[in-house]
Amino acid sequence: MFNDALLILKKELKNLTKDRRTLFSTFFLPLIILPIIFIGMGVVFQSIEDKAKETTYKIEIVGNKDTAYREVLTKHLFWQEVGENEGDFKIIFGNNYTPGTRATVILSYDSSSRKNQIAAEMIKQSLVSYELELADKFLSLFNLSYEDLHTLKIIIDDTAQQAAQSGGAILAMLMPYFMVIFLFSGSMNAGLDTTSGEKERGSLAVLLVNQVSRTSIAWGKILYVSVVSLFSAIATFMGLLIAMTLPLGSVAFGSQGLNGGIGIGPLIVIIVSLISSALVSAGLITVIGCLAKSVKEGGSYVMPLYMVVVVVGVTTMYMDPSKNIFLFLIPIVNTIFVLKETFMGMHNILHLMVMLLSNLTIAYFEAKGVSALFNSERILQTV
Amino acid sequence: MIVVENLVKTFHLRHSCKTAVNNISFTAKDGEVFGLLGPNGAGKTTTLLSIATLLQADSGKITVDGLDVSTNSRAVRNRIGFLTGEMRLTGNLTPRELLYYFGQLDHMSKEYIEQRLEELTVDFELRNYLDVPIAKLSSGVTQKVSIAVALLNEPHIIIFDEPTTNLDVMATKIVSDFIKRAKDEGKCVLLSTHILSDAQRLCDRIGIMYEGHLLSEGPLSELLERYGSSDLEHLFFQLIEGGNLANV
Repeated sequence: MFNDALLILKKELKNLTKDRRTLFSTFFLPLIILPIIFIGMGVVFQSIEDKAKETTYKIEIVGNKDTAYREVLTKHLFWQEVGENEGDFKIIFGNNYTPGTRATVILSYDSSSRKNQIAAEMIKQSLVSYELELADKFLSLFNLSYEDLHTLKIIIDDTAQQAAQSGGAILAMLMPYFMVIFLFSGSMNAGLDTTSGEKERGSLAVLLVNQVSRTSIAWGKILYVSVVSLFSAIATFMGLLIAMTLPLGSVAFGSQGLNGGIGIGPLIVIIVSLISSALVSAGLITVIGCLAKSVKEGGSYVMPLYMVVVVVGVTTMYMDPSKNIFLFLIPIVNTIFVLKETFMGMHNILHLMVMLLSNLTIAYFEAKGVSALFNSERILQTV
Repeated sequence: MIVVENLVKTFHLRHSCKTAVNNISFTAKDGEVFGLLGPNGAGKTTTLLSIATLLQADSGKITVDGLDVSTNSRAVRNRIGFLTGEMRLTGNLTPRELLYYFGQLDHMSKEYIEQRLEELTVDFELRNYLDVPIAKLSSGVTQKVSIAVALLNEPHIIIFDEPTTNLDVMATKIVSDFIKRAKDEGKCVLLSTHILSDAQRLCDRIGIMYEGHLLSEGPLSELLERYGSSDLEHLFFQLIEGGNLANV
């Protein structure tokens, strides 16, 4: 039985590898498109930031004639003082301000531009520096300096795993989301084409008249869809790794990129998690493909499930790894959390085992379902 | 030989039931071509699928070379070559790869697959297309490949559902010649068609189906005489429009 299933898998894969378009969209697209997306984002972010730092801003300062502030402001950004309502920014010192007195400062600007947001941050920094300078001047009257008021030296000791500190946190946020999305979408096309597609094309009937057992056919189909799904997820993983490794790509992640790479252990956990999830996903799509009378009908059943996967991916994106063991029983959710833990260097064998047990059990029952459908007349129904 | 006795097959749809085949009986003997003739929805394909073990009869009995299809489905499948009219081969495999694949699934030896590949290549003039991806073949050549797949196991019983649909004149002739040759070799050929000229030219005996019923069956000359018809077309419309359902 297993040999026949492998024969079907081999034939389907051979057919797939000869189809350059499907091969490109399933495997090479995520590998290429993700680095392009993130490098593109990095280039845009970097250029906006550079431009913001190089621009000379027109600033109107109201209620403060102090040259000291103007000198401080010059240290933070290029600027030019302009008259009333001529500036991009307006800094209003209230309460008849004189240097050293308490006052409210209003910074007025249009925040719809990213460049202005960056400049506003620099102006805010200049105000903090100016305040410190004034405080220092005031304290010097009492032979004190601002440093004398600092009696506590604060040192932050980050106890997070090394992996979490060196880009792992960003990986834990983005990677599981993209991987499960591509894992599921990878199985959608292959799963529907090999079941309801064959049904529509009439080639399934010829296969069923063959000597090969129906159970072998079912397993062959599931294995094929799982392999496609797995490789689609791995291509996504590699695409994101490439994006994070490249200097411009890492800018888009808002981090220093992936330092230190990923060890063999975590890599094995990632692959094992993806295999178990690919089996669940492939089993589900194959069941739906067997029940659907056409690829179109199958697509209409699968699309809501795809939306559920997207929602699960988005909602878990900003969640921390969970200790709730029940979450590791839910397919897709369990894979996301195990991947999060792995990327953050928090290895938990119990969670991994629960995920594997849950996914493999579900995949087994799905395979039994597919097998039962292949052994029934329903598999041939097209009307 | 195929023997169908009182075959009934009903499909349970969402809100209704449809009896696709209603108590039909006929026999297709070795060394003859039996044609099931009828419009779309007459029950021809359901009958053929039931014989090919792909559908289970609600009642009645079907035997293929003496084997009951409901209890010996695997042995029956070993004796039949089946081609459905809906079959549209596609994909990037070549006819050679596809025939190898089906041969391996049928647990044939490599030598036997090679031998059959050569025979079918000659029979269906596939030499120039053996290594061309199926997606690039014309519909006629694709249909010939489909037939070659169905005949790979050298079946004694050949069941063809609309075998000449979509074929050009040349390809139709190749299929027709094959059917005649199979008959001469003593094989039992059961085919369904809605092309009256095909039925008239190829079939030794004809069964006319309509709305799940077998209205009449027998050698064409006998049927024409029985109903006083001038030709098959006249007979066909006479039977399906003439209220013959009341008599079945």
